[in-house]
This record gives sequence, C-alpha cells and structure tokens, in this order.
Amino acid sequence: MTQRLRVEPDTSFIKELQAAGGGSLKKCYQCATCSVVCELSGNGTVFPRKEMLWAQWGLKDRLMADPNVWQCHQCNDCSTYCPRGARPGDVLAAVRTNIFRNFAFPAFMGRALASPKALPLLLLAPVLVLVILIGSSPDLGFSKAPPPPGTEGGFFKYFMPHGVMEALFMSGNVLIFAFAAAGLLRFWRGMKKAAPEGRDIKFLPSLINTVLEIFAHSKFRKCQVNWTRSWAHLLVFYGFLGAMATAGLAVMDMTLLGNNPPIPYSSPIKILGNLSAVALLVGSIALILRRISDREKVGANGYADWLFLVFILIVSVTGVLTQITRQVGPYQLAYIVYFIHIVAVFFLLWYAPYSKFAHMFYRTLALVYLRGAAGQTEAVPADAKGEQRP
Amino acid sequence: MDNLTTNICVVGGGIAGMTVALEAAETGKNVVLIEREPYLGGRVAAVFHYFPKLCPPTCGMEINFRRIRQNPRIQLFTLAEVESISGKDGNYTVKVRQNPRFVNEKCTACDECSKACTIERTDKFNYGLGKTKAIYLPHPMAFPMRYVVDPAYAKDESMKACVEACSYDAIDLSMQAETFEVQAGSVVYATGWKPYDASKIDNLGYSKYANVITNVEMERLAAPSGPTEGKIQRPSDSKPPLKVAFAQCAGSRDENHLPYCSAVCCSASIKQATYLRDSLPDTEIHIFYIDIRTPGRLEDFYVQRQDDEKIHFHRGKLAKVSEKQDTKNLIVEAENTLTGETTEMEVDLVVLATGMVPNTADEPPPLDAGRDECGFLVASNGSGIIGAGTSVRPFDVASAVQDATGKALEAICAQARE
Repeated sequence: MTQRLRVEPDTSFIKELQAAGGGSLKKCYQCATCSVVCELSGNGTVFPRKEMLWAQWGLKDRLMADPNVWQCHQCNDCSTYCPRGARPGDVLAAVRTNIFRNFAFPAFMGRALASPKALPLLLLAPVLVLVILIGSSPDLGFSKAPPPPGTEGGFFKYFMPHGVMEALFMSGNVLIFAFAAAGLLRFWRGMKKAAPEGRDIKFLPSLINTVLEIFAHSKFRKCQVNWTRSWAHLLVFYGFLGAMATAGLAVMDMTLLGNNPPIPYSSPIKILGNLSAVALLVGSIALILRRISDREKVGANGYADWLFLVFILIVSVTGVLTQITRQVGPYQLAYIVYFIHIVAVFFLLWYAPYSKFAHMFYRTLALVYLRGAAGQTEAVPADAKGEQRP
Repeated sequence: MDNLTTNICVVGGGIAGMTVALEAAETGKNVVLIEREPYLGGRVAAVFHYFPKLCPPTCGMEINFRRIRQNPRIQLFTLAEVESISGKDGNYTVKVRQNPRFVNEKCTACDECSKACTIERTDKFNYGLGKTKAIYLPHPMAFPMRYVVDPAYAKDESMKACVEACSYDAIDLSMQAETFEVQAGSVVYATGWKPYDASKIDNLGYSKYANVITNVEMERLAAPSGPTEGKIQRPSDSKPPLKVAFAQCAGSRDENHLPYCSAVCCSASIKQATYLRDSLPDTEIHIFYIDIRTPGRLEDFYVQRQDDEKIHFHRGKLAKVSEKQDTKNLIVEAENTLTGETTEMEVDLVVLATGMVPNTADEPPPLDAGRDECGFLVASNGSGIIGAGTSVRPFDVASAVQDATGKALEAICAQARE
C-alpha cells in the first residue's frame, strides 16, 4: 500500500522561518542525530528530524499543528550535535514564533508584535490609557503629592490609584483571555485533525498532570547543553507567579481586610513580593547574559525573544525601584518609575496572546494534548523496503 | 651511508607509494622509496580482505613485493624518515634519516630471538589489540622479511639473550641512525592516513565501553594474522558476538569532527558484515546509516547484501550508545527515518565506521606543499611535490592504485623539467 502525497511547499513560509532564526534549515541531511540526542524525544513523540523535513518542504500546516514543536524546550542539545550545523533547535524556535503570529486573533496584532516598527505604537496604547485615566479626574495628577503612609489607598492614591489599576488589569485580562482562546481553539483543533485517528483526550487529568510537570520543570531540567536556562527560567517562572500572587493578595489585604498600605516588611505578602522580585531579576538577567554570551549553546535570538526578555527585565527592575523610590527621594521620581512599571506590566499582559509570552498557553496546551493522546506519529507506509522494525 | 642521486623520490611505502615507485621504475626511471615503518604495505597490509572481490593482501600486495624485489632501479629504505626537502622540479634535495633496525640482512626470520625475548610491547600493527616481543616480525608477510627491535628496548640488558639465541649473527644492537641526502628530479608524497580518533566522538562510547570498537580494529580481529587469529570476539569476554551494530559516519560528514566523507567506510562495513556471515552464521548484523555510498560496481556489492536475511540496514544515524553494566552489552539508539520511530536495540558489539585522516594533516611535507583545510595535499603552485593515494583524498585500494599510476607519470614528467 503506498500513500500518494501531493507536496505543495509554501515557499514564503520557508523564507519566514529562515528570517526568524531558522536560516540554516536547508543544511539538514536527515541523519536523525537530533532526534536521538534530544532528551525529550522518544516513545511515540520523535522529533525534531521530521520537523526539519517539513520545514525544508514548506509544509506549514503540519508544523502549525505539531505538538512536538512545543515538546522542545530549546535546550540546544540537538544543535550542538548536528553534524551539518543545521541548528534544529533554532528552526523549531522560528516555527514557534511563526505559530504566535499564525493563530493571533486579530491577525494584525500578531504582525504588530513581530515587527520592530510597530513597537512605538504598541507602547503608546498603555501610555495613552494611563494618561487619559490620570487626566480624567481632578483628584489625580502628576503634581499631586502622596498622602502620609498608613492612609487608605496608599502612596499612589492621587496618581494611579490601586483600585483603578486592578479594574484595568482585570478587564484587560478578560479581553486577553478571550482573544487568546480564539487562537488556542484553532490550535487545538489543528492538532486533533493532524493526528491519524481522532483522539479521546481526557482533558482535565491531562491538564493537571501537565501543570504539575511544569511546576517541577521536569522536562526542562533534562537539557544537557543549556541547563543554565532551565534554572534561570524556573526563577522567572516562579518569580512571575509570585509577583502576580502578591498583587492579588495585596489587593485583598486592602479591600477585604481593610489594611492600609504600605504593607509592613515582616508581612508574608511583602516577603513573597520581594522574593519574587529577586527571583525575576536574577532569572531574567541570567537569561539575558546567556543570550549575549554564548550563541552556540543558546540558539538564535530574534526580535520576539529580546522583546519579551527586555520587558520582563524592565518590569522587575522598575518594580524594585518603585519600592525604593516610594520611600527615598522626591515623590515625582516614584511616580515616574511606577508609571513605567505599569506600562511594562500592561505591555506584557495585554499583548500576551501575540508575543513570546504566549508560549505559556501554547506549550501547556500542546503538552496536555501529548499527555492525553496515545502518541503522535505520522501514518507509516507499510512497504518500507528492506527495513525491519527492531 | 653515501648520498644518492635518482630520478624520483617516493615518500611512503604503502600501496600507493609502491605503485608510483613500480610504475616509474618499470619505464626505466630510477626510484628511491622511503618508508617510515619497518615494512612496506602500510594500512592495506593490515586489511583482511579488499572489497568488492574480497581478495586478501597476500595476493595483490605480494605481487608488488616481488616486482620491487626484482627491480634493480628501486632503492628501498625502510625505517626511514624525511628530515628536510629543498629545491624544485628537476632538482630536489631530500635529507633522509634512517633509524636503526638493530637486525641486519642475515636475518632468516626463524623466530628464535623472539622466543628468547622477555620484554613485551604494544602491537602497533594490530592497533594496540595485542602485544609482541620487543624483537618482532611486524606481520607474517612483512616485506622486507626481517625482524626489528623496538628502539625503546634496544639498550635493555635482557636483549642480550636474543642476540645469543640468533645463530646467524643477525642482531646488532649497536646500530646507529644514519642520515644521507637524495638528489631527485621529483618528489612524490604518498604518506597515507590514520584512523580518526574515535574517543573524540563522545556520544558513541569508544574508549568508555569495552565492546565498542572501530572498523580498523574489526579488520584485525577478522584477520588470521590478527591478535585473535581471525576469531571475531568481544573485547570484554572474548565471546563471539550474536548481534553486531555498525555505526556509519561515526565522526565523518560532521562539522564537529571530520567534515568530509571518507568514501570507503560504507563498503568496508558491508565487507565486514561478510566476515561475520562467513565465520558466525547465526549472528545478526545491523547497519545504521545516513546514506549508503557505494558508487560504481560497488552498488552490486551492496545490493547482494541487502537480500541477505541476517543483514539489516537502518536509515538513521546511530547517535547514542550506552552500556549495560552487568553484561557489557551496548544499547544503541537511532531514529528509523522511514517510519519516524526510535530504534533502541541491545547488541553485543558496536563497530564504529570511522574515517581517514591524512598523515599530512599534522605531518606536512617539510617544503611548502599546498594542503586543503582538512590536511589533504592539493596540486600546489609552490613546491611541486606530488601527492598520491590517500594523502590526496580518501580512496579504496583499486582507486588508490589508479591514482598512483597517474601520479607516476606526473612524477616522470616533473623530473624531466629543467
């Protein structure tokens, strides 16, 4: 039995991949060293050799629906051992960047996040929203001095009050998740369609196990060549979660418990916040230093990678600085730093479905799919001549 | 030792060097042939069979030895090395140092000295797989058929017993190195190759795991003159292997090791599969490859083995080897690129098909000769030194001989230049 396959290469897709960091993909001669050397490949999810073949042939549909692309944690073992310098790790990273753009809803947002020219406009959005907010009430203003410590509403009461920030944050999240869900649903459906048979996925247990695995970073820590990234990412991951939790807890402390900010240093909320800040700072600096110093081990760096990392760094640095300038120096300095901090936070959060930040959705979903499915292999021509299964 | 004048000086007495010397001498030219080892034949003398006709060197190489012995125009110096070269086409001066053999022409190869010898040394001819005495015959069909003393032990007290054991006065431990000059019209460099150092390929376990060997080691195991007298067996327990994996392109076609293809390893592994089929009929053979490169009539050599029920070809490079501690068996991993599934297999023996590194890579001719970035000699606009055989690129035996024949003509023309 032979299958006939009409290959219709999408050559513009090949060029996009090459421009996004996969420039060496044509060098691959399909030896499969990468698939063997990859610690995360095996047992029905064998990659990245076939992905390299699909990339060379411009088979965009297959790559958009391939969960193995997300099984990859960019550890670079494959690129190090590749005899041709085809850098499969970089090619997969380029595919992931392409996936963010491909499933972006609305589509122009995907293009915007991939284009350096759109950066000023993207920054303008949160800046404008905040400026309008501050200007909209006579009680708020850059020149308004903060109230004494211990007052209800805290230091930024007359500049960017917490209640308003929370409302913006919440409503933004709702919108973001809605838009993200649109893209993710298409992604999920694509994965199901690409599998030879329909898969019965037990979603919830699969999700729970995947989340536990992510919390332990157990896949990430299998990386050999680039293991530094695994702990640096762990720090950023927990730092971010901790910071979000701190913000939520702080709001509850204010509104439900009626405590007035600033939260004392001995409070567990404050301790969590500062620990998270340190984790975020150390982790993001480590990741950035790795990217600058060791290209061979780390992989290609594109605009999307840097954009994400730089904004995480800005958020962590301005967060720490806000805590300092709130207590030392003129209040206007604290206002400026806090403003930048919030702009950066909104930049990260509002654009999360379209930027590299979206990896948290896509990878999680792909790993859920892989865990739930029996395995992800291409249908096999039954008459592969001269070869024997072991 | 007096200085010599000759037409052509050939450096390297392997199959290519011998061929250059013979073809030129048989047209009437005078040739000086210089060989570093105590014997001629180089790496081909260490081969059990050549592909594709599976002939032994006792046939083809022996014919060349006889031609050399009978030709008065060839002056042969073994244990000789080139110290310097100067000059240009038509007039070169080659300074040669001949190291002492400590055995003279009276040797009859009776083996009495070796029996009396108490010192053992690593057997270089068998790639370190065994030991010989400090006074030894390099291999059973060595030409010149004369014993040699390992220079590291020549001054040892116990060697006197060997001198006494010899009834022909053939051992002379006072021999010294001699230097002399050769005036030659042209110089041919046929210094051959060495196997790539497989311990550099860290994912394949060579020098870590006992039962991972290289293709040149496999050749010696199969050869009757080898360390196991032709019995192919596992290094760890000397048992015959029941399942053998061949890893093609081990350290070849690889920017991390040798970027080029060594042309012969695919055919060599298929040939070694025939050794296993002949001596161990129940043994299964698995060859893991990226591409099987068998050009020309070698394609038929390959196709015949494809039909063999015990020889299995797997498309997908063998990229990971690990060891089972208790049995010293190996677990090998590859992706079957035709089905997309990983192959994980337990085998008794792994043979790494490693490539050729030209000796000119780290021992270039002492006169500026053009080399490419891998160390192979290229046609030089500088010195005019002619490269032949595997100094130029990887060759199988037949092709090396053809190349050498062509280079013999080039050398004849070069030495005629004013």
